Amino acid sequence: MLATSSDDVAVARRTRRSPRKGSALTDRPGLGMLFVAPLAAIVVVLFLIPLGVLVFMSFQDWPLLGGPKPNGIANYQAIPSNSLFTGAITFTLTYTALATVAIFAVSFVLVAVSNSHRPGAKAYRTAFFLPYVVGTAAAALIWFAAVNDQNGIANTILQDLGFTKGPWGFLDTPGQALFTTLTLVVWKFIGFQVIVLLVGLQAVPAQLYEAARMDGASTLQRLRYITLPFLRPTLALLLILSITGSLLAFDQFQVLTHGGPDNGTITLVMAIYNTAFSRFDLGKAAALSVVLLVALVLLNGVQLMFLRRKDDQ
Amino acid sequence: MESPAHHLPARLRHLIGTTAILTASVLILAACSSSSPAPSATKPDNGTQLTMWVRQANGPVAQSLVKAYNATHKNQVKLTTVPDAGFQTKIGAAAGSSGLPDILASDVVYSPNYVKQGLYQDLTTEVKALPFYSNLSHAHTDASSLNGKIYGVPFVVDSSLIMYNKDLFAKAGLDPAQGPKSFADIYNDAKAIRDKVGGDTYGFYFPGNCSGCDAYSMLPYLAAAGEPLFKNDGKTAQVDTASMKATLDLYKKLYDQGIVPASAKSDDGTNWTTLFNAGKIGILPIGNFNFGTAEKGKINYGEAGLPAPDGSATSGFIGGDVVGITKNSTHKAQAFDFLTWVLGSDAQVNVLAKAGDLPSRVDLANNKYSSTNPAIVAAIKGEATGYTPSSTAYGALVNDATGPWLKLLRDYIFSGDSNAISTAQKSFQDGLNQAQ
Repeated sequence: MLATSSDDVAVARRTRRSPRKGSALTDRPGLGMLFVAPLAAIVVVLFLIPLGVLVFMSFQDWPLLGGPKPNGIANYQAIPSNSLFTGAITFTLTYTALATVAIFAVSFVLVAVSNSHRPGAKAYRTAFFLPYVVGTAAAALIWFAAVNDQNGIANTILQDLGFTKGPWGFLDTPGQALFTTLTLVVWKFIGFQVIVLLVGLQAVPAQLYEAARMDGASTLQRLRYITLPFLRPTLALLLILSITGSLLAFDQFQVLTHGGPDNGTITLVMAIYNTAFSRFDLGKAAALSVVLLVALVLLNGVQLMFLRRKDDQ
Repeated sequence: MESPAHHLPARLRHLIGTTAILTASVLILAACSSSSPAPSATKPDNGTQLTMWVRQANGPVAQSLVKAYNATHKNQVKLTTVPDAGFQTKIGAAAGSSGLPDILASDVVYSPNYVKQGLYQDLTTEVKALPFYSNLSHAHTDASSLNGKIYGVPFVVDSSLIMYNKDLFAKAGLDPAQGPKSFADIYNDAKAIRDKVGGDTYGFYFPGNCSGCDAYSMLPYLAAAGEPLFKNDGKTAQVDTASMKATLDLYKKLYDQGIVPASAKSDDGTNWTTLFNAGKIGILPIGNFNFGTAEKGKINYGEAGLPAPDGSATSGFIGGDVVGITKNSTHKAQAFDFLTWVLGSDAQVNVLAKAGDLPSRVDLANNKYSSTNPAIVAAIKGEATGYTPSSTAYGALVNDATGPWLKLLRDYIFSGDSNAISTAQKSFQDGLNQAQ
C-alpha cells in the first residue's frame, strides 16, 4: 500500500501492526537488518557459500589435483556402486544405535550416583566430566596405546587378573574393534551427558516431589509422572545430539581402527573422506556429502516432529 | 511516498545473492585458472628467495639440507614443513590457486599423480646433463617420469631390505654371516629360530594390518622376480602371478605355523619394529630407517636384499621423496641450482651420509661415513636394482587401508581365501582403468 503523507504512513503502520505491541525496532526493519547483518554475513560466508560450492562440486568431475568438468548427475548415479559407502551405511547405523543406548544407559547410572548432596558428589561429577575436555583424536590415541597387543596396559591388566593368557586382541576383529571404540566413546562423551541430565534434574521443582510424596506416590511413580516428563526436552536434545554425532563419527575410527580390520569399521564420513583424499575424487565425495546432509536434515526433522508432538500431548 | 526502509529486505536479499554468486565464481575461477611461469633469470645463484614444501616425515632431513645450502649460497630457500595427513589437500588447493612453491618435495609414490596433473616443470634436459645422471637412484626418476620426460629427481631416499638378528641366527645354529637369499632360506631360517630358540622369540614378523608397510616390504619380491605389481606406466596390474602366489604362500605358512607371533595379524604398523628391536625376531623385512634404532637397542644385525622366490635376484622398494620445480615457479634456474647442489657429492656425503641417511647416488656408496656400516653400503648399492611402483592409483589401491592390496593380504594369509588373488587382479585392474 502506498501512503501519500507522513501521517498516512503512520496510520497505515498502525493498522498493519499485529495485535501484539511492536517495539521501536520493528518499526524500522532496516535498522534491524543492519543489526543482524554481521551474523548474516558470517552465515553466508561460512555456511551458504560453502554449501553452494559443495552442491556445485557434486555436479562436477573434480579430481583432487586438477580442474573441474561438469558431469551432470554422474556422481549421484555412481553412489550405489561405491561399495565402501553403501557398506558403511549398515555399520554406521549399528554403531549409532549401540553408542546411543550405551551412553544413555551408563549416564543414567552415573547421574544416580552423582545427583546427591553428599560429600564427594561434586568430585564424582568432575571426574565424569574430565574426559570430555580431551579432544576425540587425542582420546583415541590414548586408547590406541592402551589396547596395543604388545605393550598396551589394558592387555597387561587383563592378563594379570587372569582373564586372558595372551593379548585379548582389542582390534583383532570388526566386532572387537567396534566394542573397543564404544568403550572409548562412552568414556569420552559421558561427562557431557551426565552434566546436562543433572542440570535438567535439578530444574525439577522440589515441591512437586514433596506433594507427590504426601499423596503417597511411590519412587517409580515419581520417576514416571514427574521426573521423566520434566526431563523430556533435555532427553530430546541429548538424543538428537547423540544420534547426529554418532552418524557423523570419524576421528575415533580414523585414529583407532583406520576402518579396519577388513574394512569392518568404516563410517559414512570415513567413506567420504576416503573418496576425496585417497581416491582423489572431490566430485563424488561432494555428492556423498550432499546425500548425507539431506539424510541428516530429514532424520532430525522427523525426530523433532516426533518429540514435539509428544510434548504437545 | 514509499519508505526507503521497505526496500531494504529485497535489496539485502539481492545483495546477498549477488555476493554469494560473485564469491562462488571467484572461488571457482581461482580453482580453475593456472598461470604460466615467466621465464627465469639465467644466473642460478643470484640471491633469489625460493620457497619449498616438504612433508613432515622428511622435514628434519630437508631442514638440514636447506640450512647447509643457505649457508653457502646467495639464494635462500624458505622451507615449509607440511603435516603428512594434510599434504594432498594442501597441494590440491595450491595447484588450483597457482599457490605452489618453487620447489616441491613429495612422497615418491604420489609423484605420478603430480606429474600427470602437470604440477612439475619438465627437467629432462637439465637432469640428463648432470655428470652423475647415470648413478642417480633411477627408481625415483622413473617414478616421476611420463612419456620419456623427467619431472623430478631423488631428494630423500630409503630402501626396503631384510634385517636379521645375527645373535639369534647363531643361537639357532645358523651362519650369522649368511642372511636369507631365497624364500626357502627365509622359511628354513625363521623356522629354525622359532624351533631352537622358542619362548617369546619368533622367526619372522610382518605387520598384518598395514597396507603401506607390507607394500614396502613385499612388492620387491615381485619386482625381483621380474613381475612388478604395475607395468605399462602403471596402466596394467600384475597381481595374479606365480611370484605373488609364492609370496603369499610363504607368509601364510609362516603365520599358520606360529613362526610369526599371533599379534602380527592386527598390527597396523605401530609394532612393526618393536619386537625386532627388542631382540625377539629373527628375520624382519623392513627399511634402512631402522638401522639407527636397532643399533640403539644393541641388536647385532645383518642386512640382505629382498629376494625373488627362487633367490635369482634381489630388489628393494626405493621410498622417500622426489623433488621437482613446480609449474608456478618463475625461478627455474635458481631452483635447479638447489636441486643440483642437493645431488652433488658435498650434500650427499657431508649432510645425508653423515646423518646416516642414504645418498641417492650409487657411486657414493663407499663414502667415508656410510662405509663404516656395511649394511648401509649394501643398501646404497641396492638402489641400482631398486624399484618404486609407479601408478596414479597407488594411493587408492595400495596405500589405502580400505583398498584391494590389504584385502588381498588378509583374505589370503589370515582367512585362507584361495580366490583372493584372482579377485584382487580384477579390483586392481578396475582401479587402474578408473584412474586413467
